[in-house]
Amino acid sequence: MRSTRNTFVSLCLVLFGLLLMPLTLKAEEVGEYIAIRKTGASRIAIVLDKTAAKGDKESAWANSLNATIKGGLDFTGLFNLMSAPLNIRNSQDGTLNLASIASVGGDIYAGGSVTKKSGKPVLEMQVFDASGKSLLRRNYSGEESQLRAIGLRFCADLVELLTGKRSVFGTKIVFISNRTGNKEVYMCDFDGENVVQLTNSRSISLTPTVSSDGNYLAWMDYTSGRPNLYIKNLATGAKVSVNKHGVCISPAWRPGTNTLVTTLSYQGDQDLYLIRADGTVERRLTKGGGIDVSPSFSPDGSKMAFVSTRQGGPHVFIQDMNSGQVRRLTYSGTYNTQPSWSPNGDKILYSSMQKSGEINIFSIGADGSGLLQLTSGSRNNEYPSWSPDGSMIVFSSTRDGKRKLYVMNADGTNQKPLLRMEGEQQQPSWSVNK
Amino acid sequence: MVANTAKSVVIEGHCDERGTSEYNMALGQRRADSAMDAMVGLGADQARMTAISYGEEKPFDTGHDEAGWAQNRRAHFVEQ
Repeated sequence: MRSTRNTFVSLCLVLFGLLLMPLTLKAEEVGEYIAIRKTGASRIAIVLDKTAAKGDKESAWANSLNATIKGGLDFTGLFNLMSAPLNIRNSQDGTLNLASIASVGGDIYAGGSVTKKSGKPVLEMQVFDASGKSLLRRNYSGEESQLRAIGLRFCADLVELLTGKRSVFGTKIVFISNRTGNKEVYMCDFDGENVVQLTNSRSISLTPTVSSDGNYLAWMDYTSGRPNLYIKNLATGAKVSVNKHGVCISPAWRPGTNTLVTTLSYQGDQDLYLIRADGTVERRLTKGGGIDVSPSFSPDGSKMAFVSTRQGGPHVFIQDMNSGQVRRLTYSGTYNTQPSWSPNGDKILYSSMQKSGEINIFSIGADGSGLLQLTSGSRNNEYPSWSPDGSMIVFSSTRDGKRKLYVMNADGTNQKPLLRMEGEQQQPSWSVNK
Repeated sequence: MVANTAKSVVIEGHCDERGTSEYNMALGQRRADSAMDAMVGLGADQARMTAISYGEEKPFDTGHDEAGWAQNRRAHFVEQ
């Protein structure tokens, strides 16, 4: 069993040493960091123990934390979650029987306890590998109202520990819903929880997107009686508009800057323009040749994928932001739109309308290699957007009738609904949380 | 437009539901712009016309077939 598991999981020890942390810090770290990197495609088999608690209050907290941690880890699609075996604790002294983890095929054990200190919950979590080596021991505390955030902080630490990468926990998704009868901008947590309505335009709002630092939201709506692009400072609430006649659709923030690119048509053609956060035009990026729409940036902001009809039907092109040089990315299919450049920089997602009329999501290397179809046989699948850590994709689909939001892993597996919400949802854009 | 110089007009460009919405928004603008160019060619005053796109957002016919789509690919003239 052990040797089989070791083909899936190779352990790579990174000693950061013991850090002495002041007791006032919310998360204390004890012991050593150990990063485990997956070399195989399979999930990490994790034995998730129930959180121990004494007292009614603590038990209620433990139930809530168990649900959060289980739901959070399951959402990522990274884990094969297993309940703790009956002999997880030695019957005589109640200590952990770590040998039982390997006996049920687990790679990792995670468990802990919640206690009450000054009326507030303190979650103490421990993580071991199947050999009994301690990988993490850390306390998480906060207000009682922050139980979900406390549980998710542990989930984030665990994923980072086991994959060496950031996680989806703590990220946000902005999207459009017509729940009220009008299309408005909404925001929810990475897993569809905590839905908040951000606009009350009572018109048609479209294509919301948040800047890479989480400070600004850009979207378009018709509140002024015609389409206009708006930029809102999410901290101060201050709002400016771009205010050019004609179309103004599909803004995309340039990473690391407070500038965005959007399609405007006030100079005739539907071209892409670089816009400052104050709503003024910095420069025009494309000129002529029909429609240029739906920009998406490489993570360093040096290149921009976009849709253009310059060679006939809509296809994805890539423009170098410095030289202005353009190359065509997609040659397969006749209608390719909505590019989304991966945070790792290597892949670009796009949606393609196929001969059947069905729209599906494809992944292609930024160099044009490795074309892969991620959705099929499920009506229209559109508007793919990467999670900031690059592990997941949110998209809209009409697979169950009405247009709703779904998520999948970066390789197209683990497709599932994101949230239960009335009406239709569309145009999701995954962003960091400020 | 030529006879009624006090009025202005919004020309709305609309698309059918097929395809993706941002691309259709751009297509709708081209449709509205073309209709406005045709009006200017007929002698209408461009200063009293505004071309805007609603893309696929305001279907005239909610049918999901060619008959419905044909109704939805249109330019709408709205008196202001």
